[in-house]
Amino acid sequence: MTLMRVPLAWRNLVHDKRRFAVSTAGIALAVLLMFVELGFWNALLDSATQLLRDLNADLVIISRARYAMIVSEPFSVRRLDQARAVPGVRMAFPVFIEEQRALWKNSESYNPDEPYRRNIRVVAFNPQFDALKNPEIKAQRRKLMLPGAVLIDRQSSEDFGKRHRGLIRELADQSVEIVGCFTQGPDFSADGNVVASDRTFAKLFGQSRYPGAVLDMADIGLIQLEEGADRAAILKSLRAMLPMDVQVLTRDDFVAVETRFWQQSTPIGFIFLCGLIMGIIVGMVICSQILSADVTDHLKEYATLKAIGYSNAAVMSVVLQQALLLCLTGFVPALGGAALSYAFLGATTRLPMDLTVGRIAFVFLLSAAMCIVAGLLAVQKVIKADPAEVF
Amino acid sequence: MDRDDVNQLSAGQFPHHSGPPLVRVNRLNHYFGEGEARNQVLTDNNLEVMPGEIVIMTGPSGSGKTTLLTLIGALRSVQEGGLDVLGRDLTKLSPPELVEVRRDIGFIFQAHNLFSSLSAYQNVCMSLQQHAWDPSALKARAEEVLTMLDLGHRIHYKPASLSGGQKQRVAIARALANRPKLILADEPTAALDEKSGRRVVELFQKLVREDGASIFIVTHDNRILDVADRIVNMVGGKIISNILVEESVALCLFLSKCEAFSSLRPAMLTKVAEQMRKEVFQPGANIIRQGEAGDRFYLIRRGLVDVIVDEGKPGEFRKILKEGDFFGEKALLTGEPRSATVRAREPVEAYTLDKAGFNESIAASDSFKQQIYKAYFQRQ
Repeated sequence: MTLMRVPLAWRNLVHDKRRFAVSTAGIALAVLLMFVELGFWNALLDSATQLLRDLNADLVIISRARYAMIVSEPFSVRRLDQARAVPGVRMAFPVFIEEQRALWKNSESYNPDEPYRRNIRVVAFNPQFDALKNPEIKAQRRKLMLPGAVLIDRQSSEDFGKRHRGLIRELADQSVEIVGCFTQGPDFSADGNVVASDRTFAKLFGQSRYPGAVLDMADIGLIQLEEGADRAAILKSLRAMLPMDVQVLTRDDFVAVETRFWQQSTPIGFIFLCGLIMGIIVGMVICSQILSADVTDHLKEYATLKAIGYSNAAVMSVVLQQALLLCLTGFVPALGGAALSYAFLGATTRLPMDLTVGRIAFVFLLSAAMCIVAGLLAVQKVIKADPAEVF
Repeated sequence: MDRDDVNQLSAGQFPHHSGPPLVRVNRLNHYFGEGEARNQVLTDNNLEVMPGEIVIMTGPSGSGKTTLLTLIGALRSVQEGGLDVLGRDLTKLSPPELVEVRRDIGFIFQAHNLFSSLSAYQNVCMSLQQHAWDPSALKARAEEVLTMLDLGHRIHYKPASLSGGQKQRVAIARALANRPKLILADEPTAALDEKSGRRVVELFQKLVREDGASIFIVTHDNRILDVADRIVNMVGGKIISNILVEESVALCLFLSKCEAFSSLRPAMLTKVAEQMRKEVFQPGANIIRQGEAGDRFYLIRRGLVDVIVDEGKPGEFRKILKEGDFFGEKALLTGEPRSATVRAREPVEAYTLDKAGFNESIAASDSFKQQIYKAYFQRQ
């Protein structure tokens, strides 16, 4: 293949300024579409798993029946006592979660006769333990030792009313005091989050939740290992030792199982996946159209290239270079647009819209692949260009 | 045999240059379409182009000129017949090898076909970079060739800001940049005014003189016919005439000096010249022998001959004929055997006209026939 000193692909691209602007805008739009669709898709998965990723544990124990966090499938805390007996396990303690009966009353609601109430997610644990990695919760967990003290997620929906220290609010028809705030954000199953101690949890939900002591049934068991312990070996022995009513997972596997549930088992996951695929297809169509129109306009020049001794491969490489350059020039503004729209959408929905390096790289690879496929489609015309036609 | 070589007039070697032909077309046929729609566009074409020749190809539209040009340019695959270009047999080459052949040919297209997004300089480099990769060499040659075409002040202009003549000169610069040995041009002057067209052809002549390149021009522009060394005329897919201009002009000049042909109009003269075939004789060879049946008319192009009547007998008569003299017409006119022996004194090139051609020429005009008789009898 003949290498080129003259940057023909770049020159062809920028020769017509107006067309270059339109092409770049077209590609940028397609790439932005992918970014936004991917953003939604990731927001779904990130928000669904952010509590789980925040768990300060090496291993977790959950009920065998639990297939996702949206179902209430508690297990006996005796399993944690059993786990504690395994060598290498430093700590094993329960986390309690309640959503169904956790009605939070918005005291500022305009209708005093019918105060606004809605479900909030309550996560509870013994404040002596470091159950969550969120630094704000970590710092304030001692405050939870007061009975009726709660920390509230300041990113919770506006519908829950004001949230600042010292406010007394009603949760599950009982008074609670907001002793502090933390930042987490809602997800697709809960609009807000509250953290409380296990004692407060028992007081709030003791009567109605389960027969027997409410703290006897945990939702998630956290296991922290001793320094230098063999995680795989302990996981194996826990699995062997514990009865079949529970399952033991690493924290990462737990997150993966939850992610997979949202990806594969919920309509919303499928819809967002469709959105992402549509974004790619629309991008590819836009890209193909742009390249195809460009190639058609330059067909005579490509035939001339062949006539003066350039091989098919060399001429094809010009078109593919053009496709990749177009991808690059379109990607840069799209990335800027994505940063803005992520910030806007994140602020509006309070969902985690994170533009990580990995995701930027992923969208870039998708864009490059999209442009190359579009380029290969356009190249067919170039291959058919007859050098004898130029005379 | 006395005749060492029998050639058509046109196939003679151009005197200024030597070497094997750059292009050799041998019984070339070409078809467009397939099956029922198959249409023969070239029929049994033969042509040789020597190094240093400017060949002008003329003919009506659709006569196959461009098809022949694209075949020579390795832009199409040969279907039937032989085609050697720059010493390579195109019939044996694969498509990638044909692409390589194209790199050694300079193409000039009717519609300049420049890259609109590139400057004049970059357009030239597109061709140049296939051979030269060193940036300084590339730059030097591109600037040199553009300056040679008086485009030194327009090097970084794009085609859109150049005039038609300038664009065509950039296209020519692109074709010449690699110093190709063969240049194929399709109507290179069609888009140019007379002055620009003249400059272009003068440039071609310069190139031929300096680089020994051959240039093959398809044109309808008779303003540039005078630069041609060879004029090829095509009609209906066949080369119907192929004339080495210098030889043809020389022959016409000689013919017109003969009393016999002096009254012929130039058009008739060239027609006679066209029908003549070149023959070469070594010193001592008998060109005709006394007493043989006469079937040709001879015109001496180069060299001296002895005319001997009744050799070795009493009353032997000798005479020397030189360049521009002719002989052999009497036997044709009278049907009698040769009245003398003609022998080459040194290497001789002679052009011959066979009986049919001779009679045809004479039949063209009664007065002409009378003049021949008169001339013949005057010489007695």
